[in-house]
Amino acid sequence: MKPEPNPRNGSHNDRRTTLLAIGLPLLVALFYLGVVFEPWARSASLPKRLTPEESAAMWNDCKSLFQQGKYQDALADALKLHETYPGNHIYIEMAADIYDHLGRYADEAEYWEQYFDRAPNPVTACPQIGQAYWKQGKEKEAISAFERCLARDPENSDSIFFLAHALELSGQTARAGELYQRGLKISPDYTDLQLGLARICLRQAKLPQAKDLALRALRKSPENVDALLVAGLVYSREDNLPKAKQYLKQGVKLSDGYLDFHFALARIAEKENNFAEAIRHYDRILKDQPDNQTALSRRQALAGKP
Amino acid sequence: MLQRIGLVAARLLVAAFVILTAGYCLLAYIPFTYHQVHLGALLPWLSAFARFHPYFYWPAFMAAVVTLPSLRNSRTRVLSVLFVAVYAAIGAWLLFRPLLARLENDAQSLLWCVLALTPLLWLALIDWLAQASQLKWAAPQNDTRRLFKACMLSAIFAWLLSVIIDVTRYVILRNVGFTGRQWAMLLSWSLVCHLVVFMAIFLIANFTGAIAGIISQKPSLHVFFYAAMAVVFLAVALKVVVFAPLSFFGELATLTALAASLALVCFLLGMSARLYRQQEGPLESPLALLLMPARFLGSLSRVAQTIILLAGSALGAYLLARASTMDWEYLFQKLLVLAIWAGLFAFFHIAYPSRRKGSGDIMMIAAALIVCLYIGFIALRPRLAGAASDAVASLNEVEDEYGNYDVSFRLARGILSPPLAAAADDSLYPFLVSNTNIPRSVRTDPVEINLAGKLNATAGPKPNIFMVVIDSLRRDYLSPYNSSVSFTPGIDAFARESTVVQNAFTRYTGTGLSEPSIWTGALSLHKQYITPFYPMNSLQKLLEFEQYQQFITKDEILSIILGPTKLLTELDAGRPTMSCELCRSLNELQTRITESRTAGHPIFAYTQPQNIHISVINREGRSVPPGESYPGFDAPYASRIKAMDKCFGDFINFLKSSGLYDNSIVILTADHGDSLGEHGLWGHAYNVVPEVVRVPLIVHLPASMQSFSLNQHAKEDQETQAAPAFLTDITPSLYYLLGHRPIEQNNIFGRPLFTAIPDEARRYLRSSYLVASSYGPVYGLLENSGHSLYVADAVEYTDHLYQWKDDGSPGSGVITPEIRADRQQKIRDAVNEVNGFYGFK
Repeated sequence: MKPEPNPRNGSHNDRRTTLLAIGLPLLVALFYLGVVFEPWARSASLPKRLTPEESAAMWNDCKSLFQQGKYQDALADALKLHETYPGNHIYIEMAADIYDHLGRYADEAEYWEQYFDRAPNPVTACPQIGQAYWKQGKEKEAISAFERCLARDPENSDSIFFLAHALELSGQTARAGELYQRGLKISPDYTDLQLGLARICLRQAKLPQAKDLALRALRKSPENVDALLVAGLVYSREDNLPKAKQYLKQGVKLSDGYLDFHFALARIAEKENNFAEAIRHYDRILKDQPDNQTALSRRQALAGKP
Repeated sequence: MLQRIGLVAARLLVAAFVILTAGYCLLAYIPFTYHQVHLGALLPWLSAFARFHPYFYWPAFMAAVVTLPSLRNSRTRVLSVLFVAVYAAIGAWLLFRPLLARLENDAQSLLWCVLALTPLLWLALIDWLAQASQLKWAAPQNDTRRLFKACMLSAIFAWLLSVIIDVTRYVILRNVGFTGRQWAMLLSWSLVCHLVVFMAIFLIANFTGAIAGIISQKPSLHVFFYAAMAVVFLAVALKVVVFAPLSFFGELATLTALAASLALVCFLLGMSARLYRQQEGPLESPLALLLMPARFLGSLSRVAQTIILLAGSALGAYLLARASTMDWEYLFQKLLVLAIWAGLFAFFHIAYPSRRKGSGDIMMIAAALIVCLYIGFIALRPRLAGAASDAVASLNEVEDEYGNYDVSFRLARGILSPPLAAAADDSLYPFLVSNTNIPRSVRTDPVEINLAGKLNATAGPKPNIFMVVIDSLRRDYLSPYNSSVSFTPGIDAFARESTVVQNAFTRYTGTGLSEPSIWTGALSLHKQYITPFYPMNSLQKLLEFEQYQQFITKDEILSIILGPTKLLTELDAGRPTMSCELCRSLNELQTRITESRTAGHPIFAYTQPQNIHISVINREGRSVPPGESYPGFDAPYASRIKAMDKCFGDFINFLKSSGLYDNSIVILTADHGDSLGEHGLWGHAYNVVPEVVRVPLIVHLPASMQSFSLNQHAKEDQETQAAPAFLTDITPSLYYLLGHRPIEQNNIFGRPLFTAIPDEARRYLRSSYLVASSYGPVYGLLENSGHSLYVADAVEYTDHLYQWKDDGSPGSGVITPEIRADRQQKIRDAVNEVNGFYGFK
């Protein structure tokens, strides 16, 4: 049988022509790929972005680790997700929560700030953003954060409370009192606001208002230790010591570690010249806070007394 | 001869049937086309094809059967009998269980798409077995010169043809604002691009031949190398030109493209073999077999050849012009251009063979040089630009715009652009692709959207609400927005009693996501659709809470997103979406209102007429009533607006005469605008462009709510006035007006457009807003109080910056690397934020 002729074996038998026909397109292709892949190769050296599927798997992993208390491992996932999707507030929130559990409050505050900038509902970062600063001892930044929270949602009773409380603790009692009052207009039954205002009234010697607010809170929650403390202090200031002791002892019974009760009871005991009782309370304070200077000095002063 | 014409005609019928069947199945697999084509009947002829598919099957089957080789041929007898038996059984089965009518938006549809192609492969196998032994080959000859000449002539002719088409369009449209220098540069650049593409084809074809020659001495085997080359070419074309505009990406798209190309090329090869007759002489080369259907050209006189070339070119130009007004992201125009290129190559290869002898080495070197120079230039272009980056960016913009008119240039330039660089991991484009048209198989649970928290009863009677959302209505075709318009007196009168929101936009440039976003009052996940949708349907929740009697034209989208309710009366019931038209809907609404006035509920009405949708206008032949003319406007579009204006005016008069008007909120708007030839664009496929993003929004408030009116000219409220308003603001505004406040403030929800205190609106304002195509990975960032639009287009792998002034006239904007990086990051962040809100990571 006669073989079929090869239509390309004419001048393609010429090795040079065949070489050109094959080599030139390959060279062009190489050149093209070099041009195309050069930027690609540069980008390949950058951190690889996660695909949506990879992100979903990593997010599930991160939540699971968080629930198991493996915060360090969860943090690695959360940060990788955040790096890939820097605008996604959910990953920022997770990172901030993990930092809180790890006690890394500076990082926590930084992430809540990012959350505040990028989340569709930034108020969700409240009050954690302020608390993260507070835990670092950054009183001014904490107050500023609580103020920003309140500016975002002026009618939010929680935001009002946290700002007022921070102001109260930093000694800005007048502004704190105004805020507590503003909050109570919006939410009259908000116990923490009632007690905050009660404390301010107590400091301003407005004892009837303070007592009224504390007792209102107690009627609603008889075991509210803050309310018991305020009530005890009010009665103590009114020299109604039995009534004061009744509330304060109830507080100790409910929360022995709440040292303000022991301070109040120690002072009442001193007033009543019951030094043994006073020493017992100061000792209780020093057990938890051995360096508490007030308790130490009072304890020493009372040491020689019968 | 007649027998061969009959064979070609019958096989074309078979191929057309198979391609339509496979195409319909593919469109069912893609989420947005399923909603638009299958549920929304966007293409009525295709819906009709699907309905009668079991009956159309039989003519196609008969055409295949009568063209089978004789049963006397022992090589094909078994295959032929099996073919008849199998496909007759399938045909009978289809009569009882029609396939296309029950396709769902799932992976099965894709499987059917691929399976639908098998008849082509089967026929190809039968044809090849029947005829392969009859093929005779001529004495060997080098075809490098012939290939080169065919490619060179094709490039030059394709360019010439595109120039003629452009100049014709320029003369007709007169709105192409290129300078003489730009024209010269663009036409030269177009010639270069065409030359480079065809030189690359020449090198690849020559390479294929050389490899085939090394591997085998048998020309019959060489054919398969060329066929493989054709399969790859066609697969790339399908994936890039057809699948990408349909938002079908990824490995499945590649595999589907390869399967379809294989079936089509094999089918062509088999048919070509059947067309061969030994008495007409041997085949000069394996390529000649693939071009067999055009082989007759070689035997014609020069005059006849020239007539065929000119007639074919004229037909191509005509079809291109027709396709430009009804295209989908250049899909049909690019397919036509590819067909023209293939036709030209076949013509010049057969009709103008090279007579000169020689190896053609110089031609190979010249072709390689041309391609390399181009690649080098493209690679160095941004770096050469350096200091003049603005000029280069501006040049790119000019080329982009020119590509809208010269699709042949657009295709050539697109082929030669290095897409892989843009698709690298750090690029925004793959990110957008993977977060767009999220398939139904990806489970996403509904999210509760509460625009104003828990709804509480509010005092006072509720106003009636009438929402007329005219699909594709442009603001500049209404007199309240454009003083040159004189054909909308009814809307003009209505606007005088209402608030005309000058700076209104849609978040989504297609009905698919725009309409749901009106109802949710929020940005949507790019998925059609999260189900059940009701938890996200803020507007319906409001209507239910306030016990509105609802009159709604339930198009295919509302059929999905509306929950069941006893208070709903359907308008245009049973009418296909694309047949809903304003006058009929408003007439029906009038009748329904008159009948149900005693019900005691406030009235809500919503209709979205399709009178001026581009597919409807095209279907109606772009007709204009006799005697009407609209200088400076697109007449088919303007004439339909004029007709709608009359009906709208009559409806307002009805509301007034029936005492409803003064206690009604009446909203006239559009789900998006439309391109009417601007920059060569038509319709609103993927276009995120100013004329599609900007919409009219006219709101009439009842007398009791006039205090909420937004006085747009009040100086103290400049910031609010200049801020863009969106369709997603309509539902939050209704919440606010009905007393449900405050509206939640975030980047996903809309805002109340009307507030009691101007300052109240200010806190909702943002510096930039995400907008997006409903159907493809094209996203934009609206900035500068709605006067600047940055667009990242992951279909075309390019970015655009549009800027315009208050009067709508275009400003100048150049994309610098800094702007690009900043806007792309903002778009990425915004998409992530939407995804995060809907729990899609």
